[in-house]
Amino acid sequence: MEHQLFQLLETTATQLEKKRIRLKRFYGLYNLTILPLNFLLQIATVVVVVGGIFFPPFWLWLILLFVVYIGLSFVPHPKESYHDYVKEDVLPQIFKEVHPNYEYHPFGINNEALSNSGFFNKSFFRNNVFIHGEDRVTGTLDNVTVDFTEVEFYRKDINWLKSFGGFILAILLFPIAILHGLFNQEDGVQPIVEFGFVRDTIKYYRGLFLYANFNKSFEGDLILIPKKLESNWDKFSDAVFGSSYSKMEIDNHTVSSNYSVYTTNAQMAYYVLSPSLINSIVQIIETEKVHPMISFRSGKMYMTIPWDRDYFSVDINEPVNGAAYFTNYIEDIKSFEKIIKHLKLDVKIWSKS
Amino acid sequence: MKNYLDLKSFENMIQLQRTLRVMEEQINSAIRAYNSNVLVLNDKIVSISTIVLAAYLEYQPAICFEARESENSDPNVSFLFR
Repeated sequence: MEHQLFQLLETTATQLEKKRIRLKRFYGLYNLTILPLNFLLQIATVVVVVGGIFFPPFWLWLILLFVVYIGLSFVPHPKESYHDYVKEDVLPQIFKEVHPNYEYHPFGINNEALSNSGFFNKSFFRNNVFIHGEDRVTGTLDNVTVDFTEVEFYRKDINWLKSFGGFILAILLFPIAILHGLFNQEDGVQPIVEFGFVRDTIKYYRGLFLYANFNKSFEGDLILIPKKLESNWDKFSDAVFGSSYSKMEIDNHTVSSNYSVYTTNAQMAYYVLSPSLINSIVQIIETEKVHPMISFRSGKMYMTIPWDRDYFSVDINEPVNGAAYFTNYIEDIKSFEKIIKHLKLDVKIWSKS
Repeated sequence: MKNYLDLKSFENMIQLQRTLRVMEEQINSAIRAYNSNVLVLNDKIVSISTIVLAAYLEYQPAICFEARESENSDPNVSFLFR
């Protein structure tokens, strides 16, 4: 088995290095040609738009610029091509060999699980633009159904610097707008100067989201929210947990000082949060210096760990030196198993019906 | 290949062990829930905001549950095998 894996990694490494060298050459060419062309295209667009204000037929050039833009957008970015090749062609093969019970999906997210977890309610999603899920791993580990995904949440935030710059530019363009208005009296002409804030899309949360079958049968809901995040929440007033949950105290200093714990049934909550599980959670808090959000619902455990760790990272500048190159990937695959074993979710004390 | 006896009782033993463990965990969780409520009650009785009301309603501090030594011993299940 080990020999077979080594053979596969060696063969894959050779193929990957060939691909990397080829794409890296193209990457240099891309930086010298496509990127400057894109930049020039942007300048040309501004020049044509401004020129068109004084001489509207000038705007016909926009058609040509648009065609060039479409043409350039079809040129694949070598970095992205390499990234996609590793994620779509290389990693599934390694997964099959290292852990046949796992299935790897380069992109995607389980929206239902995310919603069922109860972590992300309306107030969390305020201004949320989109959620990006990457490196999703599903499967079974010692008969425990697991699902891991790297998640990123994006929202629109006001960029005050750009807004101020835009404001100054708008004031400078204002006389042109007045002249434009004088020569275009008919209705339906779009104003060329608009006031408003410039908003940037920013990543406001990144972490590992996981859910797994819990090793005990229980009925009810339990959620542990870090106190420093709680102020941002509407205390789950919306839908997910309803109003039947109450706050409870946990008999552990680290957890009680860092978390607010809500449950629908206190005795069930103490049954779920056994001293051993609390110790495992405390270890994660202390060793990783993170405060994961944890919930237990319908026989499942949900957890999201906020960290910057990039699973299965890909770098086109890093040479692929034989099978050893994949050591980090294999470590990443095994890290999922470690989390489950650390939380002892694979130790079933009761066979679920 | 050796012919080991197919002990049907083995599965029952595992089931019994699991049941005992679940029961133990359930009892522990009930004790922890009770003691946690006792601590909350005792804190409320002496806190400034509720001390008057607690005195008016004659609330008394409760005592945390502590199992006696005899209650801490392992359950005797030998009668199940007679």
